Amino acid sequence: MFGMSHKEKESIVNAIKNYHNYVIGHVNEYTPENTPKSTGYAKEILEMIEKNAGEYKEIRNANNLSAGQLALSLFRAQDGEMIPSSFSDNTQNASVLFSESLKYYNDTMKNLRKFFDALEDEFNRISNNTLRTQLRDNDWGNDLKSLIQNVNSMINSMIQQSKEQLNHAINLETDATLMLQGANELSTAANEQASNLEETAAAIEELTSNVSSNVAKAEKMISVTRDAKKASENGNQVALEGLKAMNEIFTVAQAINRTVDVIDNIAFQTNILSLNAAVEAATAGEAGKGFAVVAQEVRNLANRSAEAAKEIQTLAREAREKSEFGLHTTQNMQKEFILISEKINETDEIVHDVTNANREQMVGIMQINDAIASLDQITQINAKSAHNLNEYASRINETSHYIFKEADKKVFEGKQQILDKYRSK
Amino acid sequence: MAEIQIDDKCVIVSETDEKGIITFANDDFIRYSGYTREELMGKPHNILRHSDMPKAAFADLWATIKAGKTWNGFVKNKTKNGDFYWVYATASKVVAPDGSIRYISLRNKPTKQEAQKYDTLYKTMK
Repeated sequence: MFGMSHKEKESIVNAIKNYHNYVIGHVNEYTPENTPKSTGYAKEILEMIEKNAGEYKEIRNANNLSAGQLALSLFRAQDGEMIPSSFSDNTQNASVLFSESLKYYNDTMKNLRKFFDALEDEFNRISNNTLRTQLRDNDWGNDLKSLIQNVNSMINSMIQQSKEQLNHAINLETDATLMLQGANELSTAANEQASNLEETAAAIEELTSNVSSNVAKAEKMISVTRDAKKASENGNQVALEGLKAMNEIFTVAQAINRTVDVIDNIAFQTNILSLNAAVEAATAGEAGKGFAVVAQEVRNLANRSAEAAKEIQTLAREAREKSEFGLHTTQNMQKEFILISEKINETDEIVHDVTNANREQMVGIMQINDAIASLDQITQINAKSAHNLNEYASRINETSHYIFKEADKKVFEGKQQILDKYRSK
Repeated sequence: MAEIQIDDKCVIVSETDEKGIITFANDDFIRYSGYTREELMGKPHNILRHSDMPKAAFADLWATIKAGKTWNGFVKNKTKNGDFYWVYATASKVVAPDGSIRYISLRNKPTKQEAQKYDTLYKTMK
């Protein structure tokens, strides 16, 4: 070929083999052939192959560097770093595929950076309580567009939640204030109730002691009534005895009268006898003088007996009249005693009624006492509960203020309307 | 100390700042170096330098990349426990998005013949 020596041909074939190995990557550098005596075509061909190898080295380096930059950026992107690749003048000879890939990669990273910056701004706004759908999904495509749509829908639902939260917070605050007010009133009322109940208990205690003393007095009254009844019965008995005695006196007085009549009659006959004796004595003269004196004395005695009988008669009559009056009086007395006895019986009944009523009253009061004791217990529990309720209500009230403050921190569209709606109420 | 053969298909990637301090290392870099990521970050890249490597090689490397050109070369690296492995390196200066100067280095496995050739060559340079 071209009048070349065998050795020259061999050198060219070796150079092509080396070049081939270098280009397909079996070796890392091109080793030129030693052609000491090379001339003419052979020399020209060998120099051309070496020049090609040198040019290929430039391209290979540029491609490697491009791939290296891309790989390095991708390694970093794997860790979440979103920055474009570095730049080098030494990649100018790289194949279009590499340089285009790098360019796309860098554009992608810039785009993603912009996207994430926008997203970060959005989340920062959310962190600062400003809820606004500011990202436009039209600026992005595909997955990023869908992410933006999701973020916007999340913000919309957060706005919705914030609205509800604010509404709830305002309602809660209103209710909590009312509840606290109610709890305060309840607490005050429970305390008043407790103190009123204490007063009532004291009054009932006094009442108990009064009724108890009434019971004792009524019982004493029963015993007194019993004594009175006995006394009146005794009185009646005595009156009956008195009546009997009066009757006997009356009978005796009548007997005296009859006896006095006998005496009067004897005195009259004695007087007549003395007259007869005086007549006889006068007849007897001197001898009868002494007898006449005796007769005179007998007559005097008879007269005196008659007088005495008359006096006795008078006295007996008086005695009879007095005994009649006494009898009458005693009869009246007995009637009065019966009346007293009846009245005492009535009194006894009344006193029994009073005692029974007192006892029933006592039972009633005991029940009232029990009721008041349990009422007192309940009232104390109520007062304690009311106190606790008051405390809880006050805490809830504080919490509701806090919740409202938190809800009020958020800035979103439609917030002012909600606030105005409640302020106008 | 034993030679470690790195995988045919692996690419070791690292990045340093202007002073040669490691700012990035990929998983393959970490696997073959024997260090953890925490141990490597912030350390100078020459933590991997093997004593068999001639100073002139690195002088050439730094002169080339600082001048803004791409450097190619075969390098014997030392692992944490003293073992070694051969790589074919491509290094270049790049500008990070923040404008700072960085150097990136890509390494793949050399052929056995290439490693032997440079092992011999570097010994003559010592």
